[in-house]
Amino acid sequence: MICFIALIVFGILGIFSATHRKLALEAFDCVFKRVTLRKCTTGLDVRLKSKITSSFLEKSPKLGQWIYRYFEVLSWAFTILMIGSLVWSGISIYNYVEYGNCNGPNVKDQQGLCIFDPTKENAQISSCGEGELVSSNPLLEPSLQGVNLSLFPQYSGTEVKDEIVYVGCYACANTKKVNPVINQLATENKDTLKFVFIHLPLHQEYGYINKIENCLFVENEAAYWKFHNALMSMPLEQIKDKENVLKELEKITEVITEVNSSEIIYCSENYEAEKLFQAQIKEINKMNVEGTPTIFVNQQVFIGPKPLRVYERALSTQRDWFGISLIVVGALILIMILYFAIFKRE
Amino acid sequence: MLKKLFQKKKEIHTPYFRKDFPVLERAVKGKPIIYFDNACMSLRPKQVIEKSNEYYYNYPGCAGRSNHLIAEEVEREVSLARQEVAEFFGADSAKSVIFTKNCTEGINLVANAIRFVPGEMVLTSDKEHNSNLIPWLKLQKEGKIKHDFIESTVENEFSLEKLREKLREHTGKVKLVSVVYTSNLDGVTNPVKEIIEISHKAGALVLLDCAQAAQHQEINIKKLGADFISVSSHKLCGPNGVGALISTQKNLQLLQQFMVGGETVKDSHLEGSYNPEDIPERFEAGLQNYPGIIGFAEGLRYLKQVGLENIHEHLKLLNQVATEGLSTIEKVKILGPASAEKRSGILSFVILGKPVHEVSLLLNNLHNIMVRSGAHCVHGWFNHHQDTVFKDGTVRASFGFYNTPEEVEELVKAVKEIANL
Repeated sequence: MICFIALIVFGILGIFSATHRKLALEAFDCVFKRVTLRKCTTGLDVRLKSKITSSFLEKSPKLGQWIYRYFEVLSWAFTILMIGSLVWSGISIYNYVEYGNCNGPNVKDQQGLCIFDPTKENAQISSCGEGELVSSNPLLEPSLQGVNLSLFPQYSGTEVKDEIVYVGCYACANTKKVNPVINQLATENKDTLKFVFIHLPLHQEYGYINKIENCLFVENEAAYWKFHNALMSMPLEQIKDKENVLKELEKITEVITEVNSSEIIYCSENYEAEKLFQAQIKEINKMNVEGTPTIFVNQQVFIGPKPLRVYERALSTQRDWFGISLIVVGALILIMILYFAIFKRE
Repeated sequence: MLKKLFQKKKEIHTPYFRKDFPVLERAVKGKPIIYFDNACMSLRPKQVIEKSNEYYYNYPGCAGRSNHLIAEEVEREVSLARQEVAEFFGADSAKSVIFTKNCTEGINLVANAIRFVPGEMVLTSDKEHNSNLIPWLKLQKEGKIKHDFIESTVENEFSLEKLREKLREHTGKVKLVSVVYTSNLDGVTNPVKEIIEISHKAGALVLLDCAQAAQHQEINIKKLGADFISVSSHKLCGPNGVGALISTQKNLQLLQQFMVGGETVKDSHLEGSYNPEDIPERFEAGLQNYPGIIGFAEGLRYLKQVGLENIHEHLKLLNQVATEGLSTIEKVKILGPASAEKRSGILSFVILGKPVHEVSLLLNNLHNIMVRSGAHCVHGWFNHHQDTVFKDGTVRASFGFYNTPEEVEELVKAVKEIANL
């Protein structure tokens, strides 16, 4: 059984040294034979046992003797531990590729430790503070159940197959980080997507942006998306100043002449706009989001800025090639093992 | 007790010779090394190393081709070496010595150069090294000969009775009896004088694999009456990659050329004809291993200086010490005759319940004792004896004249320790 451990150890050392590469090949031969229910004939196991026990026997004869006697049991124990940790590592890699974190699709797991993302960059969110517009229950997961999405700016492709609900905030660093990815996703799948953007103003002071946006969307959808993109591109420091936001609105209305900035500002300050804004906040509260970005792709929730592949995999139009490859490779290995175990017995 | 046993017999002054072997000065982890793998390869004294180097330093040329000073010097050294080998093995002339790569090549030369008539047989013992088994099995596979073997006795000794039976069974068909002189498996020396007599009476030629025997006993081809003997230099304190096939002029005339090329012909014509060179050069294709050949002769001179009889006695004694020591360990089983006298310098054993490779590795790792484990290239015997405790091979300690009784005691102590693990 020691060959299983040797394969991993020498395999890693073999990257750097030719001597260990040879040992790794021997270990592979031994492991392959054991897996295919044949006898290991390389003698590597015997050499390793002798080498290991000898070094213990030299230092402490009693301990060495004990290790020599129970070497097979110890080898089994370490091999099982190693296989267990390999399986867990495999699951972590799969999760990282599939969900952008090591721990799987659950929302709580997405915040957990991940060796491939040690700084948790893929899981960072800008959280809602105490007494702010929205609050969340940490015991519940974010959900779109019962949420009236028709209250928010959105567009639909000609043949909708997937739905993306993007909860972001113009004044948040993590939203700005994920935004180019979401833009790319939305552009590449524009014909098959229903795309909803929900601006979650983490602070009361940014609520005016929602109201302007709502008025703009009702007035001219193209002007709204232009304004949306402009705010997403605006540096964080600038967006904190209302003047800059209004200037951006001004710029857009200069290009899209059907829209008048003064009318939009007037609209955003009236009672109807406030009413719609409050209705939106009520719906956002139903979602139970902890912060931004929170992105729903169909029913799967992603917390924090994930790589593009993670969102793509959740789309119904994308084939999960990674998963398919894993299944194919697994099946081929199984067939090969069975072939050698049945037809190539010595 | 072991030392007392030693004092009873004539002892080689081991320390005197040990200083000639630089490798014996090596120590690993502060402990000296103990080399007990002499059946595989003997150590080389300084004299041999220096003699081989002499070729590269002083006359690194071709023998028998060019006519300049260096070529003449190397030609002279090679001739002297051939003469030395001929004298050492009692050949009728230096021309009866064919230099080969090793003992295996010598046997292959005979196997491929004898003119066999389909249906003719070759007999071997059941303890042959692959070197003296595979050439015959290959010819049998090609349909050129038939091969049969003579089963050993219960004590793993050669059975002359069974040889007679086989020769009777295959009357007139046995062209060659090819047997090992001293087995590398268990050290048993076969009664070759009797084997030769019996075989000759039945009209068969005899080839002796002398790889193990030559290092500890006198082999005189003339006195023995053998037709061919094959030896390796590396088991005779000589360099690697050289050996010799020794025969008589009469027998060598019976052989056809096997490997041909440079130095094996006097003349050649594009139209298709060529004139073979005289014996022995006609069997020595291509440029030869001159430093090896020169060192080979020096190794033989060194052995003569130590004295083959002395070596024989010393090895027997060491084996007796080892056998007595190991016999006290319950789990140890020795392969071959119980008496150490019959096993020359070889002691093959197993520790019940311990894989043989594991034992040899532990001996090496814990005590710097170098032995060999496995089937020792005698797979045929092991596959034929799968119902014994030796089915997975043995640990083989093979002694040299430079080994000491203290080293053997160390082996006994170490085996005891491993058996108790």
